[in-house]
Amino acid sequence: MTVTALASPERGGTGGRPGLFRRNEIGPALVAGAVIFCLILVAVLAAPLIAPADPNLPDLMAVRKPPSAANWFGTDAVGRDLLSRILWGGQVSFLVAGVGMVGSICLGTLMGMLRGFGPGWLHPIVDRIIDIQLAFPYVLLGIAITSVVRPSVPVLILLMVLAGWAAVARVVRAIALQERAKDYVKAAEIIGASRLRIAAFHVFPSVWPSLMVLAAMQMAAMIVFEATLSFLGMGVQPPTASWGGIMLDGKNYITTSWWLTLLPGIAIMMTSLSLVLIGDGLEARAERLRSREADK
Amino acid sequence: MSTPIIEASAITKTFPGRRGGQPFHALRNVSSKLFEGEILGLVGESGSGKTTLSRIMIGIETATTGEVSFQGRPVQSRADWKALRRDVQYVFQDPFTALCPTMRIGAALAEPLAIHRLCPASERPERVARMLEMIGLGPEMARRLPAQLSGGQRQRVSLARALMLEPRVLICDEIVSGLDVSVQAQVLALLVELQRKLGLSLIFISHDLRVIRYLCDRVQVMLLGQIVEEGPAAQVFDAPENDYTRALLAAIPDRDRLPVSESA
Repeated sequence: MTVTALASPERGGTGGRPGLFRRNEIGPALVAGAVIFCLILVAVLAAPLIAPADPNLPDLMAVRKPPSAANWFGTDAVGRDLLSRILWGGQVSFLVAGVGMVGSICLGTLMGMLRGFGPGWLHPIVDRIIDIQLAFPYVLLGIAITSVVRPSVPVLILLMVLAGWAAVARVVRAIALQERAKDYVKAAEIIGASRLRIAAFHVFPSVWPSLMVLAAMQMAAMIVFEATLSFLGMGVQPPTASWGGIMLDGKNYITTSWWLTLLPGIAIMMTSLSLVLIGDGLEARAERLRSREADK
Repeated sequence: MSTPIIEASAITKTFPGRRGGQPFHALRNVSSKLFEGEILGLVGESGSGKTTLSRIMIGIETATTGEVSFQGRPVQSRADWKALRRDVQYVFQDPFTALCPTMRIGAALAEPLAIHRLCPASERPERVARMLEMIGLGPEMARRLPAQLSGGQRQRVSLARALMLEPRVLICDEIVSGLDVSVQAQVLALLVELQRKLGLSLIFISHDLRVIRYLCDRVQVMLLGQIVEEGPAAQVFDAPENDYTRALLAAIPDRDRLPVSESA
């Protein structure tokens, strides 16, 4: 049978672009987002190497200096180098948002798959837990918890997971239920595959692209959420810097020392913007791959 | 053709009506037998209950009332589900949805072996390659995804996956109706060859009477959830007793070119 020519794997390509770009359909938004995010991430991770000064060392002789050659981002109310504080503070923000994102993706996936493939009596229970979690305003939840427990990095991470998992679970549940109704799942049952095997090997790969999109979007939201909590004083406690905390410190001088709030604000905005770009790019790519598959 | 390998007796299947509507009776008191080594054809229009009956017969759907037994054992209990899944396999109508879109062909074919631990992991690639050869696909197909295959190739892969377990019974649910005619003939020829080689018992579901006539030893004609006529294929086609069967036969296009039609 000579139908192989009809089913060439490179069909439906976009023409001139070579190799990697053509095969993986990486769009400009994805590239731009990834470049910006990686630059920020590398700078933050390399803070111990590239930060020009100790982020917690006050210099009362140089208080609230505007950006200059000596202090690129200026200094804060007690003379600490703002660039160093933003770089070091990024570590806290990234740690909380990053681990929180991974945690919420894992918990959300687990719950969503449990709803899709777990025993029937669990379904309404999982559904109600998701509903309750989604109905609860998570900023309020954050404020409630941090006013009882002294906020620290682990507490904040827990908050991120709580704030994020239900949205993930809802998406995973939707995909799992949609895929479960398809013939290939029935076919897997007929060859004797267990539900766990079907969930892990057959359905999970279909959930994966959406998880990548969610991961980027969640991380963006968590960077902002962590900054919000810190700005409200419910975040990591001083003197440890985090982006929201730096803005809180600068809040009282917003009319005279714009850099104290604007520059960390830009860091937050650029980070979440780059993550949203990545998320959009991944979503567009998944969409293209799906529609190409549907063409066949 | 002596003892029935699968026997369904007095099967009824009722689907509850939606929002207080009338319940739908998919099967009304249907009995059917599949004998060792035969090819049984199930014919009938869409919605006549062919698929439901076959799914109940292999235990992937449960009957509302009635009993199914496999080699004398009842199928209703899920306890020996896994053992049953080795001996009875099913090929789906639509080859575009029956294969997991994210799993490579090689992995899909190796999976039944892994689930039932039929051979050491190291032997799996070899058995996959042998099966690919048997269904007439090259070994390079093992690295492909279903989306990179044509409909006919996918249907062969579905068939191959069912055969990996060396089942005793195979149910083919309209497996060629989604394929174009030249590919249909290839898949059918392959099916007949494999059936003879492996000594399978086969239930072949189709609304295409020419295909049924070509393949089957025995035929059951279904209408509105009941079997209206059954018997050896030649008898049903040459001397139909039921009005519906006659109407079905009369509706075959190019009927005069059928080898059986002279006496009909």
